[in-house]
Amino acid sequence: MANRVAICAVAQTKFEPGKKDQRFQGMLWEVIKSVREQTGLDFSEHGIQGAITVSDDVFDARTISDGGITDVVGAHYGSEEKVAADGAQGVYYAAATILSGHHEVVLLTGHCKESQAISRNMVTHLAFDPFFTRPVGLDYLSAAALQARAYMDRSGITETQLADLVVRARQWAAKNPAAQETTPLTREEVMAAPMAADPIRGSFMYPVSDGAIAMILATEKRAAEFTDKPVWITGLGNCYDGFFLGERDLSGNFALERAAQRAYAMAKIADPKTAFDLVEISDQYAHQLPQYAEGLGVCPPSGGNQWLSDGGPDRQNVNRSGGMITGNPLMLGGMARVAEAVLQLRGEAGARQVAGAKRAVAQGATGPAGQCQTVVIVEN
Amino acid sequence: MSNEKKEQELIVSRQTLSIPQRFSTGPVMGRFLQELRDNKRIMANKCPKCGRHQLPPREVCALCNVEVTEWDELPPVGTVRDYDIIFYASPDPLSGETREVPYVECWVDLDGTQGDAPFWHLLNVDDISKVKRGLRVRVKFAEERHGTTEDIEGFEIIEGAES
Repeated sequence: MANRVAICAVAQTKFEPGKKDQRFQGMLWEVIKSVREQTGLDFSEHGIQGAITVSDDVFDARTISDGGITDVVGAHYGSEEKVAADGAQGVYYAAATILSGHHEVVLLTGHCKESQAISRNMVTHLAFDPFFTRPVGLDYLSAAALQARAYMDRSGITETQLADLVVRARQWAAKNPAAQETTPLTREEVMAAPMAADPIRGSFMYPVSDGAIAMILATEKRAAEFTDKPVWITGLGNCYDGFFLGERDLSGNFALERAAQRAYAMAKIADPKTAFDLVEISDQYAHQLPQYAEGLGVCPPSGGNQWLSDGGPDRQNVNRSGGMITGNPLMLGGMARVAEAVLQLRGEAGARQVAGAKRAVAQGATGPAGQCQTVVIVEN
Repeated sequence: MSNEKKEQELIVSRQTLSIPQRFSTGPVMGRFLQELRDNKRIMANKCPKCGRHQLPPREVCALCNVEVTEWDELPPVGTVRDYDIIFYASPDPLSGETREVPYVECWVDLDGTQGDAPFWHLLNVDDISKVKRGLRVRVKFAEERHGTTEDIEGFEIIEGAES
């Protein structure tokens, strides 16, 4: 990248199964207050010039879901644009806003209250077309189950291996103050959870979660005013796969491979297996950790099974945050991955800190079975 | 042979979308609703920086972007700033039924506010020809209240009072 964009501050709420005491505006205010305190920024002429917000109309149960948050994101009489996709896509958009010269300092926020709807599956059901796939009853869970079956058949990865990933995720989540599901589980407890959509058990899927994230992004020139620990975005890439699941190879990583190639070309990364000090993957479902590790190229192509057996996730510091499977709402999976990468590169990751971390990759996904993939590379 | 082409029937698929929701009100909107229900009081919050009222009360002053912690009780009387007479009403999404038309919606500047806290509600009148800007009106609270803005039935004209 010719010009560099810095992430100058991040804040996350504690992710919880139902924040009954807060409106989504209240969740946002909590994290916006934090990033403003971290940077000393306000919304004056030389402060935050615009907001990029991430939210979903159906989850918020209102058309134009960003309209109700202009007060808190400082966009009353100001500039705001919304991304109705995973928050990693919001990071991409905020960086593009800066690189294009529209703004020097941007507030990026994301929020979602999955607990607000009686069932999040009713929400994601509406992502499908009303004629062909909705009548069959597809939602993101059943789409992920098709993906899990396809990937497990191809890779030979077993339910036991997935259970061990959940056990591992809980161990790391216990060291992350923002994480939701921190109670330790044994392999047997994970395997005893009831089947939700075969082969996905209740314990193999991310929990219903509420929360918000905020970040401040700025040009290289301005970043030094707000932080002495800027984290640089050095690579960005995204790619959409087909809308209809039947047109896709659900066992593979068509979109993620292309998104990663674009980000790696930008960041001049030759070998992703050795390039990163840590890797953050949006594992909404347990099988997606090895599947997306293949797509990112952090393990050999089709090598996910062997990589798990060889201790790849520990060796390559994958999801020290606990991962999405320990609790982030939809919309925030990839954004929470970027937030963790930033905390690690700033040396602020506490008991889960990767010593001397210099470069990280974070991945986010939007749509059924990871239809749209976003890859973000950050360095310090 | 006929050149007449049989017209294609264009099928329309009728569906009802409905997802039951539980909206958290939070401490700010929550207090506003609780005061309506328990005390028949209209509470606006007041920006500690610019002093303007906000109705409905919100966590943050939209203009100053600072947290709003102060509250003011507003009187249940005011002046109609603007109104709208509805002849074609939106149906209730679940019942499909509409309110009896015509009905009147209005913005009311409650007494003591500086045009910064208009209250939006129904103006219940027996004769819509009486409706005009500047009418003096009073809030009518409902007998049974549940913590929604329907705890107010609407505004009523204060007969004989001119602004």
